[in-house]
Amino acid sequence: MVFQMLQNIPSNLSPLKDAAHNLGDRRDENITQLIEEETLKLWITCIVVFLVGCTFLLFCYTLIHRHLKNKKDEKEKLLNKKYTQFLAELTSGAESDSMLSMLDSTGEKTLILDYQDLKNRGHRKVLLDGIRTLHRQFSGEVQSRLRETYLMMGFASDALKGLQSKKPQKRAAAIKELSEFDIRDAYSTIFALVNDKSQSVRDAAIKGRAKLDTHPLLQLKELNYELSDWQKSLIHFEISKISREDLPRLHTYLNPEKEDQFSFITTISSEYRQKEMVAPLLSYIAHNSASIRKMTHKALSNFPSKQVKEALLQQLIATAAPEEQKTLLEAVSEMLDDNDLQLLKDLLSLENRELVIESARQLLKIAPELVEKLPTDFNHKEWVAHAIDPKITAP
Amino acid sequence: MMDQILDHFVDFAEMGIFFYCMGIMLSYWVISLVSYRALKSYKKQTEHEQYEDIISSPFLPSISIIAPAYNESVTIVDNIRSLLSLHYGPLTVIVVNDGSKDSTRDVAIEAYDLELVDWHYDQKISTKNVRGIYKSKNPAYSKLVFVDKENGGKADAINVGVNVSESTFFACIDVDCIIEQDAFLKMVRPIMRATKERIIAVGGMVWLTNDSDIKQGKLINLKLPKAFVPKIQVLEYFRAFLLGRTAWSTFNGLLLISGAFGIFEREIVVEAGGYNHNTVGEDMELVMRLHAAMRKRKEAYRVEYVPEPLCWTEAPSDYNILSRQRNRWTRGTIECLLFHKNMFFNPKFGALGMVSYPYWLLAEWLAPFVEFFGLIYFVLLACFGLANLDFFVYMIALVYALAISVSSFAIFTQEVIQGEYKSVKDLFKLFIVAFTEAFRYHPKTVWWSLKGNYDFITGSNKGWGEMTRAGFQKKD
Repeated sequence: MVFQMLQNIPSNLSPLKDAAHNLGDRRDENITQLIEEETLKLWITCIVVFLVGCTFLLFCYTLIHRHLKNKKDEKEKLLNKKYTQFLAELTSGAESDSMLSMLDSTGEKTLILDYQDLKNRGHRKVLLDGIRTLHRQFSGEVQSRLRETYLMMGFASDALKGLQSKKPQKRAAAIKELSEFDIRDAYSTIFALVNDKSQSVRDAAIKGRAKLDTHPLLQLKELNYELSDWQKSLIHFEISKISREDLPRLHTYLNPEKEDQFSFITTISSEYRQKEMVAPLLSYIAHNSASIRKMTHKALSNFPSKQVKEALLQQLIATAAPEEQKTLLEAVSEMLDDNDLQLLKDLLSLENRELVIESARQLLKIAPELVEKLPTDFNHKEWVAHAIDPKITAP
Repeated sequence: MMDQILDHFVDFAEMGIFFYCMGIMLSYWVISLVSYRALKSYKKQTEHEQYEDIISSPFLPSISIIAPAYNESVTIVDNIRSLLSLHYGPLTVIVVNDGSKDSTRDVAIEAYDLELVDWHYDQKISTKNVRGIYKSKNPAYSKLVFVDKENGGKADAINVGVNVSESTFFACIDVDCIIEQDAFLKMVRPIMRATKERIIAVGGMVWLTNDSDIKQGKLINLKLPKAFVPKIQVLEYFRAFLLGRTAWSTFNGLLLISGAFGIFEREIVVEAGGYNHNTVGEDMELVMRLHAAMRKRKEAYRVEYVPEPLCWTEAPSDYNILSRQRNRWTRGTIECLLFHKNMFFNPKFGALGMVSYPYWLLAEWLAPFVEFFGLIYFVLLACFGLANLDFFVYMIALVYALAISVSSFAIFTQEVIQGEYKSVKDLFKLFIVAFTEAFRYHPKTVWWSLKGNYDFITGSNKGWGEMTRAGFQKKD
């Protein structure tokens, strides 16, 4: 009604009308501001309550978790002691009959396992860890007994189910377990998992297959993913268990199309030094891939012979790339003798600093009377002059 | 007109502070959740890893441990012994005596039967003069190289080590740290597992051992420090190392690898020019420069992080030393941010330029200013009767709730993922520290940060300051 009256006010009373409008506007503004502030405060209150609530939950959970974990650890310690006793009796050759009668709850209790040990998940985990630890430490009959126990307790079927898990970590853990105990039912699945899309699964499968397959290198031809240094190390570990006589011919796995595998074979060839490696390596000495050449040159350094030396030196003269020259020089270093002095002196006059230093190092090895110690503040032109003519004082 | 301007300014300031706080809150929680996920994944992957299987692998990358030493005569023998006992095949230990004023060199020479040798190396990075290089006559210490040089600071000492090293990687550690026996096998894991990207650096987690039981350079029993100052730093290290760095490395945006423990590819470091002498934040500056060098090369790479406590050190135990350390960290941060300001919101640097750098600038560096000047602003408003006390109280409550929730999450994460602290009482004490940090400790850190900025601008404090060490507590 007031508003209507204001609208009908004559024009000479317009300042009053304006003042009333302003008052109304400011009142509306204040109400809006108030509502916004209250809304903001409500939001802030909600966020604070949420954060404090989370804090309280985290506080309680953390303390309870630690308390329960400590209790669990204590219990596990006692269980470990109990199972160690059981496994000690087992591995010492205690009569398996009494153990079997214990496990199916017939006969007198001679050992200390009971029903709960077979069914309780926590107990089974502790027992499994104990079996696995001992299985890694022992061999022969003791290891076989442990494997029997592992099978009898049903751990293998649990792990086989784990192989089918959607979670990569569970698959990887299952692979590790099954390959440790050499479970044949798992072979085909483990072998196929070397090309799983999860790297953790591939790592476990590659290691598992290296252990279980006829020999560790067979899988190389089936791998679709690039071999990492980690995986190479896992395969190398299994290879190192094989005697030299039983080791497959490494040169049959030299494949320049797959640089990762080429690197793997050439690196381990230095350990085994199979003579059959020389001919294929020499064929790659001038390969069009720089990295293949580098790996070849490095590998050839482990097969010192006149043939290899000449091939390396020929390549050294033929190549213009200083990096490659340096690698070749390093590769041939153990094979150099007095006949190669002139070549080394020629290399000292080149521009490339690294190559000159490497040449000087070789010169120092072969002919120390020609060369005094390398100065660390290297000025290669002056040093080169000194190297060739020791009467010139070193800079 | 003035009223309107003032009104707008007040609104802008209040809303600005509010949205800044919300932004910080969101970023802290995103970091916390991302790192939790990454930590869980790492734990599952490495739970049953048998590192001893690869200990004699020919594919292990060679590593030189470079340990700069300055006035370490009390602890040098134990520290070297600890380094030499690490389980790693292709390892060289290079101890660089940076012109110590005490008897560090003589103690080491006597203890390890060292003699001066001719050691030829290419001085790719210029450094102060090297007085001599020593090797042991005893073959048991064949991995040890002791370098004696003129004083030039930590950066210079490490550069000498980089020059002398012949390995593919070098590890930068503080000589008074305890390193886990299998630390390097775990640190090289990301390097060896990489196939698509080049791993140029790996950072390690550093935790605190104040008041813990140490015997012959090995941590026997981890305990929470008794005093408040090192105790609060335990919490800070949880937040920084456990949450912060794990998350940043997930995005390949890690700007900092602790100078106490990290591995770097030697070739890239030499190409980048080694450690910078002109900053006290040389560790952070190097990592930023490595990122820049690799971006220039246009080569796929990563700076990785191993979220497992592999290195143990001693935290400053009183406010004086701590304040000097934080002052240095602030100055170091400013220097690094200025040196590499071209990274700011530069898409050429990927997540580093678009996320990490802005975060360090706006959250890490700017936050103390916002806090301090926000408080001053409120006091001024209160003096003029313009303060919105309600709003202020709500903001304080919000910031406090955020702080305690993030700290609690850090303690929770440590417990669930790592569980290194076995005592319920210790965890309870840590929570109390987290709840009281805002009143007892945080104002000091804000002050130290502001002072660090002031010292940087005025140039009144340029060095490292004296960091006195008591040595590790020994059992028996």
